[in-house]
Amino acid sequence: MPESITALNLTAKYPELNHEPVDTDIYWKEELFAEEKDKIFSRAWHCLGRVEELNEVGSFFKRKMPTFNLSVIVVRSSDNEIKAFMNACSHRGNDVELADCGKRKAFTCKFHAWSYNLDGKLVGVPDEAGFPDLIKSDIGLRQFKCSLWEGFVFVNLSSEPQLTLKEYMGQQGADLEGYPFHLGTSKFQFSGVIDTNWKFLVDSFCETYHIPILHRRTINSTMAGPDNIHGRTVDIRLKGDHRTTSVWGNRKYQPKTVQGLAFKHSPGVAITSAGDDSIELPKGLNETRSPNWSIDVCVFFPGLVCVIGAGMYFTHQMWPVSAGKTHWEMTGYLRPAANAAERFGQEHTMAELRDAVLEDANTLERMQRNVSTGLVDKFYFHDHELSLRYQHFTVKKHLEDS
Amino acid sequence: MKSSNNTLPQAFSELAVFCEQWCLESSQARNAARISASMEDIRDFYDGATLHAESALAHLSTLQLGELPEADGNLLRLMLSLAEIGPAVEWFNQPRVRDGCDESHFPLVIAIPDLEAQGDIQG
Repeated sequence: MPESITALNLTAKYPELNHEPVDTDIYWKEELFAEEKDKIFSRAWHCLGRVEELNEVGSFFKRKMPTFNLSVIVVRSSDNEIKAFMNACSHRGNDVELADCGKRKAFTCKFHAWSYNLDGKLVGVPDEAGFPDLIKSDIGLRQFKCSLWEGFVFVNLSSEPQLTLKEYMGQQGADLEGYPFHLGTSKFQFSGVIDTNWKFLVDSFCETYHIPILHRRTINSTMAGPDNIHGRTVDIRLKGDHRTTSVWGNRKYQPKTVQGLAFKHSPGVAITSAGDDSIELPKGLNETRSPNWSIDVCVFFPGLVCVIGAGMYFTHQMWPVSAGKTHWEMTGYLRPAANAAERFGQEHTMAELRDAVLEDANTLERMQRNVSTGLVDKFYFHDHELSLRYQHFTVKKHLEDS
Repeated sequence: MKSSNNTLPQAFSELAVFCEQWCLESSQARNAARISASMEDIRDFYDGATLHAESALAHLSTLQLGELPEADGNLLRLMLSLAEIGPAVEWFNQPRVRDGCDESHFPLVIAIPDLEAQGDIQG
């Protein structure tokens, strides 16, 4: 095997793990999902967007959090802070904001026109004399804890989060600081509901063992190929509850015609081309500094997957709604096109990414159907499926918490 | 949705024959055109467009988004369709993803605008 291929000894680096098969209950049992929701998702920080979307005082975006059946408004408030509010009027619970994004001086409910300022305080009540005991200053939109990491806006639904956002992001977050996330301002997003457990969705981006088989027509030639026939990863690093898989890149790949044109006319590195040595990476990306590196898949437990290359990144956000159903959002953040030809490179990156993940998505519903019978009671994880084994371990650890 | 006017810059007039089917006004429309086209149509377009793509992109690389004359905008949109159908030819040898999840289960909900200047994020 060529020198650039990583040996099989990653799991052994972590004494809390072993090579045993794992049980599959957590992938399909509704009572365990209810526990996950309570002990994992309700306590976690959740990423809702980028600060570049909130450039001015009054800029806002609205996001759904399907796991909690919540609609949330995130706004740059009058004191220039980013704040998050439940999108529900204090009067009788109607949505106060109907637009997906925009700029407001106040949020006014379209039901009875109760209105709230950018700090969420109730400032307007039509025919206020009809509420003789109402003290407006005591009333406002329900506010959620909101914090920023590297320009990503996170919220936490607990009134007293167990961890600050910085503590939650931990070593993996610290090791990624400095990456130019702010340059990825040309955004696209795919969104859908898949009949699968949220952990299967996360897993499908965290192991490369499947690349030579499932992706044999597509990304096999760039992320595995003749020098890496089994799709070995470059490296896997476990940090707190989080983990990073560094994906191999075939530096000898000769692109096909349209691919080659897209690689040439891309703002930043196209997703299926191997890494660009000219870009200085933070410590946590391609941490082993392998010359055969393409992207890192950084999972922030539980449901945020950041796929980061030298010139672009995208995120997967998983919002489980039941043991067997997950809202999945994939958001691409590309560098802006410096000229009209680079719009072509962007479109090609978007199309190849979508087509490759549609290959992944087909396996997810099949696995869910089979495992939900209760008849597939064990999984066997390859050494380079360590990220999956660690997710299983981490979920179990949290479920044992009181 | 088809672009209203199919004029191309003079140097690329040979590509005009493809405008009716492939000069389209959004990423979603281009994917819809790809998955409803025959592989013969896709191959004809791929073969015809790749003959001129290098020079078309060299030309477009001298122009800025947000200020494209209509004919150049049409040329860019043809090239964006070439980007969309590239994987159909270079990966799958059929219009749709082979053994893939149906596109309708995972639609594009926010697209990068075709012709607008870029820089600020679109929420």
